[in-house]
Amino acid sequence: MARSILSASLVRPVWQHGAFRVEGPDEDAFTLGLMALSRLGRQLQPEGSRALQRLHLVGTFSPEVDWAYGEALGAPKLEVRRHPPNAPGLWGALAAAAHDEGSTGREAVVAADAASIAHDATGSLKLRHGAGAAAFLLGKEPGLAVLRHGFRGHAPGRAPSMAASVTSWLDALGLPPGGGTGEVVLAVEDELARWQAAWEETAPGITVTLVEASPDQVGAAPTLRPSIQLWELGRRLRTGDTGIVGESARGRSGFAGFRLDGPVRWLGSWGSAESGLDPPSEKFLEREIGLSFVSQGAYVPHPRYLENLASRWRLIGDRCPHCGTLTFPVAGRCRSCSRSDGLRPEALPRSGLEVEAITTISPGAQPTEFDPVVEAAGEYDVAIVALGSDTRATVQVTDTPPGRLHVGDRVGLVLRRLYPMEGEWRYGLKAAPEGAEIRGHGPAGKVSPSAPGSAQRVSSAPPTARRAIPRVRGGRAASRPRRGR
Amino acid sequence: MGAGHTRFGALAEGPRRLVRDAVDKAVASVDRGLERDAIEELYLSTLGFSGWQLGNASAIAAEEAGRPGLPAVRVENACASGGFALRLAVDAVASGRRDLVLVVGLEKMTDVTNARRRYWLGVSGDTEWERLAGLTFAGVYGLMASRYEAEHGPVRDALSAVAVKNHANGALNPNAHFQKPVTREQASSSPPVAAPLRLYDCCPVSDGAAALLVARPEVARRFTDTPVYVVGSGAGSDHLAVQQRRFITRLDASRTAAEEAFRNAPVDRKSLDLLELHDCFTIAELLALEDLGFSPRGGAGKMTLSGATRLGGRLPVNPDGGLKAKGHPIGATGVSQAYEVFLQLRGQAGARQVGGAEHALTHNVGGSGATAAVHLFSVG
Repeated sequence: MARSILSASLVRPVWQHGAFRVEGPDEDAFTLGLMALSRLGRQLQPEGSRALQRLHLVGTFSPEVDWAYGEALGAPKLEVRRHPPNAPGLWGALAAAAHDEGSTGREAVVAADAASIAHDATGSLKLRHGAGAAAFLLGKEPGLAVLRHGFRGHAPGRAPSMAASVTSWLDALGLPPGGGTGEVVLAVEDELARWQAAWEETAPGITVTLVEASPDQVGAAPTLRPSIQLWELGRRLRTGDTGIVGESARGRSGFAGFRLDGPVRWLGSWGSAESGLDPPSEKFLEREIGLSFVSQGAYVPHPRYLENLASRWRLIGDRCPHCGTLTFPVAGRCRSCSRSDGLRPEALPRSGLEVEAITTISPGAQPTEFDPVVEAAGEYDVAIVALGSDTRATVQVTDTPPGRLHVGDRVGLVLRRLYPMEGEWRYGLKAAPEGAEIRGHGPAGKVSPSAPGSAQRVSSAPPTARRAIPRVRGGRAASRPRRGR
Repeated sequence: MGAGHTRFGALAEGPRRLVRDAVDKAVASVDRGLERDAIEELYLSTLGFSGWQLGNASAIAAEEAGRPGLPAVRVENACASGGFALRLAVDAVASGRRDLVLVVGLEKMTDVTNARRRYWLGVSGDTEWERLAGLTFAGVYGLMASRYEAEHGPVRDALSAVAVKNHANGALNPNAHFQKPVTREQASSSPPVAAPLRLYDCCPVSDGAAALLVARPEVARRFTDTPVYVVGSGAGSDHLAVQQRRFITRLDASRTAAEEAFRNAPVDRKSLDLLELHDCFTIAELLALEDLGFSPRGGAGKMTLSGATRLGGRLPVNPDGGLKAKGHPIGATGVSQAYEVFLQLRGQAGARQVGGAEHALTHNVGGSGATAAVHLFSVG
């Protein structure tokens, strides 16, 4: 049973390190992927994310993420499959999700990059591509159908010529050179004019859209970049159109073909480079690589961390059938009448929550297990938010500079890293300003219809990001904006 | 019938020495002298800060009290340990089980690294929901203060007035950690800690010990002509995490404890001459005035700004400087409050004496209000 892409979402962290977007101290491939995935889950009515049966992961995820996704989505039987963290991995994952006969339900593909900094061969720290996540929901209805994907080799030891790449992509999809209709979206760092010329010469009948995807905007992120290519392609197709995303590197031309059979929901969301948040310090990121630092803070044994994640990650409470009271967090009995029979799990709302109390924790006033967070980002806010009448949660605030939120403001809850312990990150819900998800909405720039045979240069970066990104060369940022106080 | 107190502050003395000094002073305070053999049981109030002798610390206290072999137990209810140790001691003599018992409060907090101290300062709150959201107690009380402001309007001036008053009182107390007055401007412009709380809204980290000799009234009268009588004792508890409580700006444990203490007591709120309130943060003194029924909701700031709670005011609060200026060695605090009342009601409080004081209240809170103990005292 073939399935097609029904909706896709794209998220970027709000942090920025020099020319690159990187994950913040409370974001990683898991949380970024979850944010992209959660938005898709809202399309799955009425069960939401619980309806997902299989998840394909494309990226560098820690081993714990397999069960964590199931827990965070409330889909305990979720089957997780992993794919190589690169463009072929993404295409393979999409094809597997679209054509695997073993699945009867909804599937999703999550591609996330968060490996933002690493030691190079000389031992010094280098920024390695940006960070972000894309998620694609596949189901039986008409949408963006996944056609073929693969590679064509070229002469060994030499980069394929542009014309040879174009020819092999068209050939691979069964499109005649110079004939047919279709669209091609290419992410190229430069040489837009040469790509345009190659297309005009090789396939003059095909509409070409060139997307600039230089490292300044997407980094060299090996999974995010093909995700953005696909995103840009899909948004430009009209019903019945066929499109190709391609990659040309290291003696090979990779391709994946798609056809638009029905509507697809594109849910874009990029962090704002103007959020005023400091990026995590290099020292923090260096320490974070090995999670080698030992917390002197409150010790939370792993079994206790795992206990009641339904309440802590998904805001599940228990509704008492006898007195109607909602008990949160789940305690195994009603907090009002103490009866334990017949309690029904009920998810509390995660958005539109009112801030009832809020404080800014200055450096030195944090518990010791939050020292790495303070080291990376300085002071932070903690709030008590109302989940309903007489039900509250105490949560850290993220994605906005400290001191900006006030009692009475509305927030939503997102799952983020809390603190490291015993060699792993512990996760929990944090409050983010309401509407933050659509701040700096993107990623597409203005697109005007392109005539057949002409090339259209489109920026894939949000307008706000382009302004604020300083150009740097090498691993260190030329300047790091500091938050004023 | 007797009470002793060490200096509070960053002290060179270790915990054994602090216990010994406090007990020695308590024994020496007994008007007609006391043979230590008369002490029948010991209650040690301590959190066990920094992990120093977490288990069986009461045996060490018995050693240092000069009575090895004495039945002894450690009482732990975080910052309210002292109040609860006193409550157990009162129960022991009121029930007739014992004639004379010893209460010792102790904490040694300054001999550990800053990182370990910050660990210990948070372990008495809710770990799962509060600690792991990035809160220590300063943060929890900061949340309460922010909510209080949202409900009752700006509170900065009142918070600073609490700090100014308690520092002024502490300057008159030779045992206080801080013995210098501060100005409203200093308090209001001190570095932020957990907004809206600033540095001068927070009690210090202190070492110290205090001791009480608690006896049946007829026994006490054999040792002194002016015993101080415990005429009311109440205690309460509440959800550990503030998010589970009915109100963010009320400590129901304090209210419950006060209700029990005043029930059947021969004194009422109007007859009290002074209050020893648990002001771990300045906002806590305002909340206590309201929770215990000395001010209407939202009125404690106005009451404080009016000068009513100063020495010489209508109802002096924390004449010893409170936790804010006297210091807050966690296990010692509740015992120290009773020590102050012992001095005040016997007219021995020197420069900070509340004139003609006959009735007093102590209020001791554990953490952010998970536990609380209230005691009422009278002389004569």
